[in-house]
Order: sequence, then C-alpha cells, then structure tokens
Amino acid sequence: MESPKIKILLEKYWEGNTNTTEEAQLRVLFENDIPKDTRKYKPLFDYQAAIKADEVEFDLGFLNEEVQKKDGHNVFLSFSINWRNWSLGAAAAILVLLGSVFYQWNSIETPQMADENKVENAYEETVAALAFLSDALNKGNSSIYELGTFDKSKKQIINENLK
Amino acid sequence: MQPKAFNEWVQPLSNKLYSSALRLVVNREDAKDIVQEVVLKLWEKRNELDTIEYPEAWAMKIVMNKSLDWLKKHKPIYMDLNDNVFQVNTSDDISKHLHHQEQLNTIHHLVQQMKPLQKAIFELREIQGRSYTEIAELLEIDINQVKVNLHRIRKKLKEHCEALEDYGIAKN
Repeated sequence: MESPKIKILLEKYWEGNTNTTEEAQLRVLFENDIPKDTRKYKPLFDYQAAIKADEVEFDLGFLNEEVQKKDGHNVFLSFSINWRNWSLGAAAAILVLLGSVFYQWNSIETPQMADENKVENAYEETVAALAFLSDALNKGNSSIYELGTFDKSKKQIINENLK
Repeated sequence: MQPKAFNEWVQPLSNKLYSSALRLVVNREDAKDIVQEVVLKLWEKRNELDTIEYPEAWAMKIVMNKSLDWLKKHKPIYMDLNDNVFQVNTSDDISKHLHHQEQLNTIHHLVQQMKPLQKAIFELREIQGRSYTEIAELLEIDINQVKVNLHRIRKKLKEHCEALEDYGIAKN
C-alpha cells in the first residue's frame, strides 16, 4: 500500500471513521514495512494483534460437579456416553471381588472349625481302627465254616453206618 | 442439545468468554467465576438454545455486564503481559525484543487504567472486532456513546505512542 493511503486510513482510524474491515487491513499493514513517520504507532497495532492471538483455554471440569450436585447424577460430557459400559464393568468387578472374598472367607480355618476337624479326624481314625480289628477277627471265619461242614458230613456218615 | 454436542459447542465459546473476562478483570479466579456462571446458565438452557437468536452474543453480554460490575467495585489490577503473548522474531536481537516488550507493556498498562466502560469498548472493538451496533447492544448503551468513547480511547493511545517516541521508548 502506498504511503499516503496508509496515512489516510490511519487518520480515519483516529477519528473513529474506519469500519472493522479497514481496521483489520490496518493491522495487517502494520505487520509489514511501513512509512517511517507511521512507525511510532506500530506498538499499538502489534499490541492488538498479540492480545487477539492470546486466547486462554477455559476448564469445563467444574460443570460436571455442578450438574451432579444439582441433578444428583452424572449426565455430562463424554463420560456419560460410556456410562452404561462403565456400569457393566463396575458390576462385573464387584462380582469378581465378592466371589474372591467369599472364597477366601471359606478357606480360613477358625479355632472352632479346627476343633471340629480334629474330632472328625479322631472319629474317622477310630472307625478305621475298628474296621481293621474287625477284619483281623474275621480272618478265622472260613476255617470255622469248613469245620462245621466237616462235622456235618461226619455225622451223616456215622448215621448212615448205624442204619 | 446432547451433553457431547453441548461440550463441543461451549468449549470454544467459553475460551473466548474467559479470555475477554480475564482481560477486563485481570484476576483469574474472578474471571473464572464469571464464566462459570454463564456456562452453567447455558447448560440449563441447553434445550432452548435453538430459540435464542444469538446464544454467543447473549453469553458475551452477560460476561461483559458482570465484568463491568466487577470493575466498578474493584480497583484496577496492573499486570505485565504474559511472555507467551510476545512472538519472538529470530532475526531480532535480544535488546530489540525486550524493547518491543516494554512498548507493548506500556500500552497494556494504559488500557488497564481506562474507565470500565472504555475498557469494555476497547475489548469489543479493537480485540474482538465488533461493529458499533453490536457493542451498543452488548453494553446496553447508545451507539453515539460507543463512538465518543472509542474516539477518546484512540486519541489517548495515539498520544501515548507519540510520547513513547519522544521519550525514546518507541525508537527502532
């Protein structure tokens, strides 16, 4: 842009007669090489351009908390989209945890249970000992039976001879 | 409006609102409170947003009014510009860069010293590039009041730039 043109635009600007397009044009002009007598105003346009470019990000995290406080449930942002999956996952995790606790609980031996186990073991050992004794005592049974059969046969022969 | 759609819509808008509020009130926590209140209102109205003609302008209007109220109740805070505002030109030497920073900071301090209404007009016109009509509607003032104040602002800034040169701060 020619030097007089930028000066005209600048004069219009000071008087508040420029429109927004002309003002944007003026800012672009000041980014480039400008006539020496207008350089003193460069910091002002540099300042506006720098401020314009400096946008600060706003953290929306508070909104989820506020909505939960008011509505009593989570309905906000991407978290709510997967809420169903999260619920199922959480339910599954709780079930696994409960199962694990139940298993652990059953495998723990309390003093009372230990006493009961001892009595049961003693009983089983006694039963086994008696069974062994019984087997030992019954070992001569077959011989007694054989003797009975012999005695019966002997009596039969004697009776036949006496006839 | 579904939560995800609302989030996508409100994030860039809240960035703009927060940046504007922060430039006016300077205090981060107070600027955050102002924007949080507006975002909550938008959330509550999320199902009626289609019926509001310009929801962005509506939100900006609340932010401006709340920031103006804040400025009227508090003393202005003077702070230098953040370092990230300054673009480092690799061809510049360090003294030239620091000199440029100093120039911009003096303008920044001058803007911070302005009356609340002038500060808001400077923000809406020079930073956001809004028309006189929009500014008048957003600040609920007469359009001539916008023009008169803007003229005063520019005159003050022009004189400041000339003084910078006279005192040697603006020399290149």
